[in-house]
Amino acid sequence: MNNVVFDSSTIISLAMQDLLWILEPMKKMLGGEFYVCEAVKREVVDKPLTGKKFKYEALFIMNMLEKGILKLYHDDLTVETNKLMFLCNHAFKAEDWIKLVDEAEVQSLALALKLNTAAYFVDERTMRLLIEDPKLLYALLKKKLHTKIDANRDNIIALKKLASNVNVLRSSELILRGYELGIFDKFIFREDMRKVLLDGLLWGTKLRGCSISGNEIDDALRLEKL
Amino acid sequence: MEDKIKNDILSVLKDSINAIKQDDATKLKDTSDHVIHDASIFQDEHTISVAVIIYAVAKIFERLRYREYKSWGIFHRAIFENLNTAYEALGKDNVEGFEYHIHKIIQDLNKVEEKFRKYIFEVIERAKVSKASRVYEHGVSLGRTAQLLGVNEWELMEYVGGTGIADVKFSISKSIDKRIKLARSLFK
Repeated sequence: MNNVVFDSSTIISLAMQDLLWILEPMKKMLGGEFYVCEAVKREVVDKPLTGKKFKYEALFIMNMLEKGILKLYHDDLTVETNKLMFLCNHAFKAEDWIKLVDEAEVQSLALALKLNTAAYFVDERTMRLLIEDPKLLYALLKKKLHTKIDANRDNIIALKKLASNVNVLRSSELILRGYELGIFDKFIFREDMRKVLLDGLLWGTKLRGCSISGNEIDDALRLEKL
Repeated sequence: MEDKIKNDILSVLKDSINAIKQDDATKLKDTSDHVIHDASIFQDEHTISVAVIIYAVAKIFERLRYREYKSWGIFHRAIFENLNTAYEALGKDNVEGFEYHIHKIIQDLNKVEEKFRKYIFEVIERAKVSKASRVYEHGVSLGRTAQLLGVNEWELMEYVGGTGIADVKFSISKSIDKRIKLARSLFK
């Protein structure tokens, strides 16, 4: 059975685009579970419920948890999370270690590793770069911080080894695959609207914080021959 | 407080005070950017507070219609006098005095008339999100940034989505072809 883990950033960008409904059909296509950890639930349900702006979205997500479309993982992940936090936040140093990530993001990765999930969905950039290409993150830090950055090779190698089987995806790929499987067909009333639809969906996710570039969106449209 | 942070904050405060004297909103905005590098590296609350306040003040100075409020003078004094005193305190290594006067800015702003006060605090909240997006741009994760600046991830994602952060070459770690191949293998 293929299971996946969602970080809060992916759920938030889907929620803000009113696309949480795709989780139900996509879960059927996966044939596995959509896991979230406790820290993510705090971020996407508990916190917005105390405010005004994203209360409705939080209720929708709560409903997904109630219905089992999203599955909350309850077991303790402290040991695994702390180990990963240490590696991530001691990977790069300027005058001091740069604390790059927070607990919720790392807890999601810890869950993905513990369950050996088929994919780890994260829309924000830093966690993705730490897993997939820490050299690129190093280059980014050097360019943006205008100071000498030291990379701790041991910690970076240890992190890379731990996360070597982690497959990162974003809400954009979930939407793109959903499009390919026809879940958005109800919005296509003319064939020439296909490009408009997919372009709108992918730009929608980008403009709501998913770390996908305009060029990647163009590539996606070309992939779909649009 | 680390010497580097202290010296950078002193430099920013000095430039900000001069910018306020010259009524130069552009210079104020530029000044708040100078501490973002420190905010990203050290993630120090003082640096972050100063960056947010200076940026918010710049945005308020930009909007000339705010000067029509009766309590514009109270606002101006609250900012100018407290920044000056904070600067002097920090120059004497009096970190407590510096912190007190930075916090006092917010307390004193509560004395302005209600409508103006409402705008000021909205601008301050938006300034937090704006500065947070700069820290994210510098490479710190969204969640960590949200935590540092005291903003929620939802608002921060909404804001960063409208920037070009995702379009820089450093943001692309794998082709979308490879990602969709994986997605196709999982979702059937």
